[in-house]
Amino acid sequence: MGRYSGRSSRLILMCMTCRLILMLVLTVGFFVAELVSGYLGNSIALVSDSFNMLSDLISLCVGLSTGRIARRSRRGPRATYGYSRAEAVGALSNAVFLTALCFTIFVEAILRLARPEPIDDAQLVLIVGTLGLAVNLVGLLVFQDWGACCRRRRPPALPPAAAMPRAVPGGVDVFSVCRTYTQHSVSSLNAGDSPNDQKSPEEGSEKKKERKSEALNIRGVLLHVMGDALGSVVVVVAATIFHVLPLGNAPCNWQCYIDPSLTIIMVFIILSSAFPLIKETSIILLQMVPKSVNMQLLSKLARVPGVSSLHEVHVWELAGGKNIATLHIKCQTPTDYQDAAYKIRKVFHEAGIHSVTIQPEYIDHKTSQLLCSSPCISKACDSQLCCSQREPPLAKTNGYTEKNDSCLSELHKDNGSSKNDIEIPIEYPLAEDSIKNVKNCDKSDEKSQLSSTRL
Amino acid sequence: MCGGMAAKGPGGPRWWQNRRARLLCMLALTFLFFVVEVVVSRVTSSLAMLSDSFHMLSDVMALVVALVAVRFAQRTRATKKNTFGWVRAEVMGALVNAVFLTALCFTILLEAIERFTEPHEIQQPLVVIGVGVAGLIINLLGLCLFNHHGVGGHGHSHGHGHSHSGRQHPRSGPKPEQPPGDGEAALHREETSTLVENCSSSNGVSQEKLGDMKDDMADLQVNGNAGHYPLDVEEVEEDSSAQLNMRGVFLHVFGDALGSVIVVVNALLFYGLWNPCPKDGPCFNPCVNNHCMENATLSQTLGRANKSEQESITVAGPCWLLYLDPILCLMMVCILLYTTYPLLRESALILLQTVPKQIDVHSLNSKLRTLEGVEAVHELHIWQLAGSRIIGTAHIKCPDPSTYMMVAKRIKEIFHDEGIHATTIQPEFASVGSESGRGKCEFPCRTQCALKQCCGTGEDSTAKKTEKSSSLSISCSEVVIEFPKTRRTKSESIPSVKLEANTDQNEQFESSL
Repeated sequence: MGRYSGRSSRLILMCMTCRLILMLVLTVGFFVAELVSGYLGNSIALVSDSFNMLSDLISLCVGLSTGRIARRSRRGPRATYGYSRAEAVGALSNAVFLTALCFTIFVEAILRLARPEPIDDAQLVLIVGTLGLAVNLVGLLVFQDWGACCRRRRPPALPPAAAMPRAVPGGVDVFSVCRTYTQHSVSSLNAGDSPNDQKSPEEGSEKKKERKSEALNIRGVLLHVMGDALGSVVVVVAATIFHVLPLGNAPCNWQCYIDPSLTIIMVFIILSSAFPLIKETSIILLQMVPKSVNMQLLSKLARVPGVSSLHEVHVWELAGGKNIATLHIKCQTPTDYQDAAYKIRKVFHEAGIHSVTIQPEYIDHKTSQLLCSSPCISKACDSQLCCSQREPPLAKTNGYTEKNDSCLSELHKDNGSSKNDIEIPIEYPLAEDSIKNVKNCDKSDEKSQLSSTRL
Repeated sequence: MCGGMAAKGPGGPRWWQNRRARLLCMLALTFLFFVVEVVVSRVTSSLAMLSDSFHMLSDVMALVVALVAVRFAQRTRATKKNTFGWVRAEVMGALVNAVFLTALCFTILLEAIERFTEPHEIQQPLVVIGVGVAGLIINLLGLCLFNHHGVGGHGHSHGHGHSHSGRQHPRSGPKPEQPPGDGEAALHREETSTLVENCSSSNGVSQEKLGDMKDDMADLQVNGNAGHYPLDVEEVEEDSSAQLNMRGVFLHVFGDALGSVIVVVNALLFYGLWNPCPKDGPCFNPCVNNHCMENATLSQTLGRANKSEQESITVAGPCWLLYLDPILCLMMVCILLYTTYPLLRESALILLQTVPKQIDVHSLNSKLRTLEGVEAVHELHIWQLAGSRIIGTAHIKCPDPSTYMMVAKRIKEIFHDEGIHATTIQPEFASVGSESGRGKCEFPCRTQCALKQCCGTGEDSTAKKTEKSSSLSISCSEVVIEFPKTRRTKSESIPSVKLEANTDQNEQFESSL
């Protein structure tokens, strides 16, 4: 937490860890208080409710620790990219944990529907529920964007409208409003703390994207807090009903069903906001192409002069807006390569990808233009390549592209002559159905060795 | 039973080795049992049975997650959405299952603590025993299904004629007929020990591993030659990422089996030793309502005083029986957490893009640097996509393109020897007369992209020398090299760039490439 760098912009960043710790302290305090009062007052409900705070604690700990790991650790021999992804993993863990808890709560609610029971000590439950709700609301407030006040002479990177909750169309979905609100609040909160904010608006928004990973982490924690808050709301509502209309010794009437049904509704609300978080972290963790990148840039890449063909194009996001790409290009000469490399980087830069590694392959007239000249040193490694060379390429617009449009004739030419020259044996018994639908340049057979990016 | 079937030769039931088949089989069984348990609980109106049935439901969910992951992971082709294919889905499935299991342990812990404070008697212990035994049988079947497969079958792809860590140097092509010799076995052992931490201790199945692997490898080699393409792909895909996924499922089933064991043991003991309150006659139960203990002892003493008159007061059976359940549950939670942690750690490390354990980046770096013609190596990144697919990228600085051509193959061989087969090597040619240019990236992006580059951290440990200060979080972009105009022949002008080895992030850089 020692980030007292003296810059006001860093204050916001520091505040985020501070906030997590503050929330942690609050939760621990409330947990202990509830536990003690539960034992003293001999109320099982209090004791069990205090243990629900434990789940909050766990999620806060996960959020804190992954945040620290991501920020503190640098590149090293064990992790060549550093640990900046830790926050995505932490967010996923929190979301899955919350889903599992929702599952158990759902099960309990169903059991309660099967065997309804009244709330015994409605007053005590009401008091405790209100206190819990207060603590959770404080937690929600803690994570809000106070940065707008703290930020002094710095223009906010986001327009202020972005900090307001977006109106959800058709929206009775309270939670999604809360969710978008917190998303925006967290992202705008994080947007302000860049030292280079004055540089350009473009850079400001880039900083915002950079802090996206932190936002993911906080979202995971916020989900838990929000789930807890909703739970407290349900408890308060049910306890109020029992307090106002006490049941006494009468058998259960409609009142007993309020609690479980509200709980089920709450579970669905929580799940509906946990899944988007899971999806977003999956995009990062599964090495998917980030949403901000349009793969149409491949066609731009193919048009760069000097590039005969491209293959093995991979684009992925490390974490927090840092996109990485690697590709292999086939060129005629080294000068071609150097010229092309600059232009290729420009194309990628415009697409928002700033770490690019380009491998040149020089066209050998023995091998076909379209194959990867250097997949690995032997064909046995095929299964360990990230994309199998044995699989057929797809359409023209994917990573496997020909420079000129008259590839059909070349293909036919290649079909005949280069069959024996290909380094990797053609073992390709099945042609996929989709290949037959492919237009122009790709004939199935000999091109099977290309590891193409299938679009 | 399961081991025997799977160990058959190529003519054996291949579907049995199919992960999906096993998962579907177990899924059907578990779901059926869940339904049966729900029905029985309604018939006997036993709440404990109903809540136990939901443990089966959590099993079903874990199996569904694993199945979805397997479905995804079989699509290894690059797509528009995912340029690597979906191979990583299994690792993610493993992580999700591990976290899910941890969360379930947490809830079981809560329930156990609740039981401590408010112990319950078991109603109808016979029914509970019956259903518990049935559940145990199903779980044992599941363990058998996933035990062999999940831990044994892996790493076939490594059997194809080469090995890691420079043990052998097969320069020639693959030798699929190579019999699995000591090297292979040692390789597999090494791989399993590195890729699967504490596997033997957690799963207790290490002994069968090697034997089974050899069988599977023999199958695969025959298949590879015969060109059974789909099956080959299928089995080759079963490497350690599939292993992780299956381990996740295995741990869930294991947890459920432990739960069933506890239920059965508890019910048996309860049935045997518990002295229940008879329906008629006065009786008091000293074990519940602890705060009434004083009243209980009071009435007990009263009872003893009046014992001569009232012989019929029965005291419900030994109280410690009621605490057995929570205690056993606590033990089960500890065991589960202990066995889940390695899986969690391993899948998290893969997802974090860390260097796989068996690769030493320092030695790789030094090997690369000692090559003739290689001046510097930087931006060396090694990471594991999933299983045995390890990906590397590096920027190699060479004096000129012809040197690079000579050395390119050798570089790939070095990577190959380490087990990294998908590499992207970017050559950079030092500009004439720029001695200070060594070690620096020739192709950075523009400077304002600095923070958006992948490596926003200070020290590039792979660079030959470090002129950048470590406080800077940019690895290459702030340093730009003045290119002599002669090297560039293209028509558009490249703005001349200033050399600034400046470490202050806030400075405005004029350079752009």
